[in-house]
Amino acid sequence: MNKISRFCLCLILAACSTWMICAATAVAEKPSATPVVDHPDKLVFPPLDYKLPPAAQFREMLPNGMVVYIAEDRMLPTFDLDMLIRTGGAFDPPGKAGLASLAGEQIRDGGTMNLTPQELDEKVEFLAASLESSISDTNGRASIDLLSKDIDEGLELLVDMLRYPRFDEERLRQAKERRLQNIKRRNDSTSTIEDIEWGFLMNGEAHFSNHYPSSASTNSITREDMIAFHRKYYHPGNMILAVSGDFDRGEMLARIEKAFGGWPAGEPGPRTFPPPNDKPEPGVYVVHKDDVNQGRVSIGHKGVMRGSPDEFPLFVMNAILGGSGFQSRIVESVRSREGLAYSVGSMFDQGTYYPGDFRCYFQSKSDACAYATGLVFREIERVRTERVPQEELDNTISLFVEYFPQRFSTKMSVLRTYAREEYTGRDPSYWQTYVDNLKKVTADDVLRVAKEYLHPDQLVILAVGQSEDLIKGGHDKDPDVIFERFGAVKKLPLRDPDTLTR
Amino acid sequence: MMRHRRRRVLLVAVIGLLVPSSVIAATEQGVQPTEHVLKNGLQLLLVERHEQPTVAACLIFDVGACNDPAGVSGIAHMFEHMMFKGSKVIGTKDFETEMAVMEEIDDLRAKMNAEMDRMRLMKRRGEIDDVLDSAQWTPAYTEMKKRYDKLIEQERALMVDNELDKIYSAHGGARLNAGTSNDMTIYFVQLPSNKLELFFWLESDRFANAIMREFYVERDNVREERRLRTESTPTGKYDEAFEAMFWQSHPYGVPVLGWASEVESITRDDVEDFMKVYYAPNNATMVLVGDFDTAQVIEMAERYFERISRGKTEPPPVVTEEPKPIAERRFYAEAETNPRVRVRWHTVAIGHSDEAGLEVLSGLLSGKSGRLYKRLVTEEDAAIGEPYAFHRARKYAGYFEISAVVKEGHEPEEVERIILEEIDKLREGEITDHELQKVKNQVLASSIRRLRSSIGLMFQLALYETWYDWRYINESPERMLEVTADDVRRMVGEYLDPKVRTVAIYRTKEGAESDVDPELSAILAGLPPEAAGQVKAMIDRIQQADDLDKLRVQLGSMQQALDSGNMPDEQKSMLAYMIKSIKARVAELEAAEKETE
Repeated sequence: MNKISRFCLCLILAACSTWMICAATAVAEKPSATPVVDHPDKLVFPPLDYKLPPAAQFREMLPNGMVVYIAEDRMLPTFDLDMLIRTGGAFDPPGKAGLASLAGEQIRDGGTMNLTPQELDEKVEFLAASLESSISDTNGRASIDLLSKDIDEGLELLVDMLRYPRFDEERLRQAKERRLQNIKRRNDSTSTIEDIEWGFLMNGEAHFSNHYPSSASTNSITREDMIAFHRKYYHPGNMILAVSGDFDRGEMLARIEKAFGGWPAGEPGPRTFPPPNDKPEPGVYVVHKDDVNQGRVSIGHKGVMRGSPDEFPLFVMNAILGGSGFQSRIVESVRSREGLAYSVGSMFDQGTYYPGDFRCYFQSKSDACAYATGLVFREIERVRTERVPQEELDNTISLFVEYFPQRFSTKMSVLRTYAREEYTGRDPSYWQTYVDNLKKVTADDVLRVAKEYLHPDQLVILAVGQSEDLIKGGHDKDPDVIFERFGAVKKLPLRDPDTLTR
Repeated sequence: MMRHRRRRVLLVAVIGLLVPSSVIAATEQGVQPTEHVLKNGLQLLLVERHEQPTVAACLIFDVGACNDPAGVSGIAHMFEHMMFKGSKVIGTKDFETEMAVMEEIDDLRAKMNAEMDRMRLMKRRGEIDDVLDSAQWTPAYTEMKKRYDKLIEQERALMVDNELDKIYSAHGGARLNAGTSNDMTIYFVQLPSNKLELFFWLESDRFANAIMREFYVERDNVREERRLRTESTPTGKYDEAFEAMFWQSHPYGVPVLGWASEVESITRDDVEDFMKVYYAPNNATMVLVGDFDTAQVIEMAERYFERISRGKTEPPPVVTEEPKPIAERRFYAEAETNPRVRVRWHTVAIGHSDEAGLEVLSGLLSGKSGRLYKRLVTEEDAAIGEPYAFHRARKYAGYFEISAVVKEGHEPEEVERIILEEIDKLREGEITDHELQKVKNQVLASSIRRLRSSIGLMFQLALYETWYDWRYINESPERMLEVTADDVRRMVGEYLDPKVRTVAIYRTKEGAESDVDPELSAILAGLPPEAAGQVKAMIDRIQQADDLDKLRVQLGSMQQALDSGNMPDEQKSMLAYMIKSIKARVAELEAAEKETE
């Protein structure tokens, strides 16, 4: 828990992270004091012209190969630095699943060659700073956030942490024991069970995205493994920074260069991550969990990678189907009309490194899950066979077009976006043409891509909950809708929480 | 309301010693919204910032779950959902016809409720066991339910689904949502600055003319929300029960989502009565933060909102007070979760003069360099993760909580004892200037950081104003910077009395998963399924074997096989594991023999 936020006294804020302040023009036109119109359609709004500044305006490359996206933001005396590092858990050695994530955590928790873990914690908290490090499957991250009066000390701590991690044995032992204890708790919550099972169903056991740490792999990880992992990937040439705050741009670049000075660029890190080889097997999969009165259901199949000519039509099609909240069809059908779920929707993830998933999801009382699944099928069929009405299409597109300026609500959010594009190798001008590309999507496009990319015969259905009630169905609206209607029902036992085998 | 503005001078003196002037300027400036009150009592708090072309906007009502009348828990939250169902203009194709259908629905619903009462009686007598199970309904109820479903279909044909959401979305409205807490209900959205008038149109419309359409369908969604958040999560049910135990009389013990049986019984009439009392302009505040012109906004607010008249009756006060606790209370739960301890004490409401001291106290205990982590994790190795303390001051009452996740091999009671020892150290031992200063540095930094985000600032102004007074946003850090070591000791003495603590202990209840030793699981995972089954069965037999001699023979032959070394690695580790198991069993039996000798 972030200690600082506690003083805000305000829980909701935790969900609202930072946003604000972006270079943009806004002219609040004076509304005339006219009487109130009888419908909001009759309101007339002044135009708003927003242009996202291009990436080149912020990008710098330091002599040590480090790429820096930088912008001054003088509103408050604060400093914000985020970093992406080319690495990932995808490169855990065989038998050592979890090495990267543990190393990412211990780079921060394990202290530095100059500071014991306790000294580092003490310094960071005395500065009221936040200093973080982590490694996910496909990237490493580090960040520091503090008052601008402490920038020099902050940069020193950051570099000390990244360049000279101590990997303290005692902290490592505790981290491993914590992990061993938490590994046993993987079957506690149906949402974790669902997410893990869905990953296996979509990408297969062999894919790196499904390599979870076990107690055996965790026990086998040594300090030496972490040192070797760190040495291989943590170099300036593998680092992409986003920096904003109360500073002078030129001066700050010089300070960053100095702080990372004498650290060679190093070997280039990974740019690609392997795709799964396995193909999902369509059918209905039911995982039993005791003591819950709500089932969690996912329905979908493999999708595509981003960057295809159909990227924007696919995006709009999914928004219409279930990807734009209350405006979308699945939400309207399952939640608004039938009162069957609080949380419901769909996503069509266009993968960055390998094909993403098409996935519809909801949670409903056990006996209604099959019926609600039928409603989702109906909407998938409708978007594949009926041309979307122009008004619905226009409204969906305008949702994203009108929202566009708010997506970049702070300078830091612009910098982070561009740093991520640099990391994943997408042309950052994607965002300069984004609005126009959305506006080009037609009702014919939506129908065409729905037909081409949604495959009702290939759907995988996963239901987690009280298996008997789930399978029996029997919702009073239509008791005849049961899961068997959607394919052969296969009951899957819970996986062993440690090895995730059955 | 009490205000403490005089303290500002002191703040500058305190922090002047420590930090450069730019930081003081940002803090000293604080948050200074423009205040304006409309003729009907609606209060406006307005903060202009022009860095970005958006406005964060909300209406907050001084009503939350603690105002739910007895028997209708969850109604404040239910009403929040209903505010998204439209008005006489929004959400309908033909309001007149729709009204007629809705009245018919309500009449039928009243009859269904009467029949439901009869079924509840049948349940109490044991004639049926679930009033919500359609198979057990009386024929009369089943018949009415059919008619009811038909009427709902008729109503649906006259409606426009989620129109409020659609209009906002089409104009770039983002984060449209609402939240209900124990103390308040807030409706918020973030809009492009050129679309601000839309907020005034739609919000004044639903404020004045909200229609409770699709009421019973939405009630079902709220039941699903309860299942999702409380009933089907590993600890939701227990956390709810713990709250109910901690608050003896105060309505804070009633869940915001309501008790299941009461949520299922709320009627449209209940909600409409509730709305008349609490949804009045004199019980609400509007907060805008962003790119607008204050004079124009006040003009729009008057034009749109002064059409709504002040409430006929003032909302009734919450009179129930929590009695002074007189005894320790303990709660033991077995749940599918890590073992955990929570220790809680009753404290003070927001704005109380002791709040700052309690906040600083929680700061001393928390964080990786805080006292709890040092003792429980670094020294004792008895907890995992980051143990923490926090003070939560609500409008009418507050509490102080310390929580830790217990490490395997330790008892929750042991962790509880260490926590109490740390409290004693604070009561009697030294509190260094350094650790006090660290907490104050964090107070200062967070008072600057919270100005970063417009929507964040909007929330804080709205919440502080409804809890107490928006000025407290500036005042509470000032108060905390003044807290001394003696103040902290006084807080411990005054509030953290071990004799009246409330404790929750969570132990791990194993689910359906196997409780196989992880080492064995790893070995089994490397074997073909048939072989794994055989090995598992053998281990089970070893663990139950009674024949010491036979075990010793087995041990010898297995040891020989292992020493010969001629086998693949996975077999070796399997064999080694079996040898270990036999040795363990042999040792057990030998010990038993000794005892009987």
